Amino acid sequence: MKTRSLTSAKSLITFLLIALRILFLWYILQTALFFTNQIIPAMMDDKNPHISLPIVFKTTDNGHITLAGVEKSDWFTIYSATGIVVTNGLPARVLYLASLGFILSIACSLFMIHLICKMLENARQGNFLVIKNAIRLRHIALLGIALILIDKAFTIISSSYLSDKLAFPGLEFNSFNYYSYAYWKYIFIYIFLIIIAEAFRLGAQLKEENDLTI
Amino acid sequence: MPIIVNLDVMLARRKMSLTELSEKVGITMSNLSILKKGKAKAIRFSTLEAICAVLECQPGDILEFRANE
Repeated sequence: MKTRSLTSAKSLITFLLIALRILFLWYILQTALFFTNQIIPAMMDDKNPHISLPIVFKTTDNGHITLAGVEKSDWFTIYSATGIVVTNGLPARVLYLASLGFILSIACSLFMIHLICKMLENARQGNFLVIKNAIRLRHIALLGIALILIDKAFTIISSSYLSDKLAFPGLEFNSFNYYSYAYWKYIFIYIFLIIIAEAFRLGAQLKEENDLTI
Repeated sequence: MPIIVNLDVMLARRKMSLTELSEKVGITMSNLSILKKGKAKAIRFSTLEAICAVLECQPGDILEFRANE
């Protein structure tokens, strides 16, 4: 029974390692494609490159909502929405600034995957409860918080820049709406992970002292 | 570390090897090696008692305090 559970744990770790390494390569590929399809053409005298930027908006007109079995229809509006604007009508310097946010996000994600892989490799060797893994866990949590902040800052900056430049029938573009702060609550998960990392570190310290007690 | 373990000194005096001590005390060679190199964080009284009984010495003969310079 114990042998079977050890084997299944090792299989799970191997599976996770393979999946994370594939994800790592996928992010590298995405970055390479971004550079070859957008940055390099923009640098080679493409004055109006192809750019995708996040935006927040709401509808100016009301729609109708009709329920089954109810004769009278009522009105509705989309008060907060988020989307991606794709355009060739912005200067290249906007692309370079936008790419900074993209590169920072990718760098955080790649580093997080690298740290998780290191922890899983330690687990595979039977050496999971060590202080280094506790520090890695703390770094993963901090990178997660950074990722959320970068994403939100990027959305707010992009929306603020584009809000007075866009016109679309029935839509009003804002600098700030519900989606600018909607997912901030996920920061609490990473803060909790920092607390777990601290507990992990204390546990690893106790284990080390115990192992070195003759 | 301020606590110095003089196990090799006592082993030399009693003309005993580390392997022999390990067998008589019942501690693994790796643990005794950790103790001898000064990498141990703590020692149990039971272990100290067993070592002193085999080497026929006092705890002070094995453990020495040296303040950090």
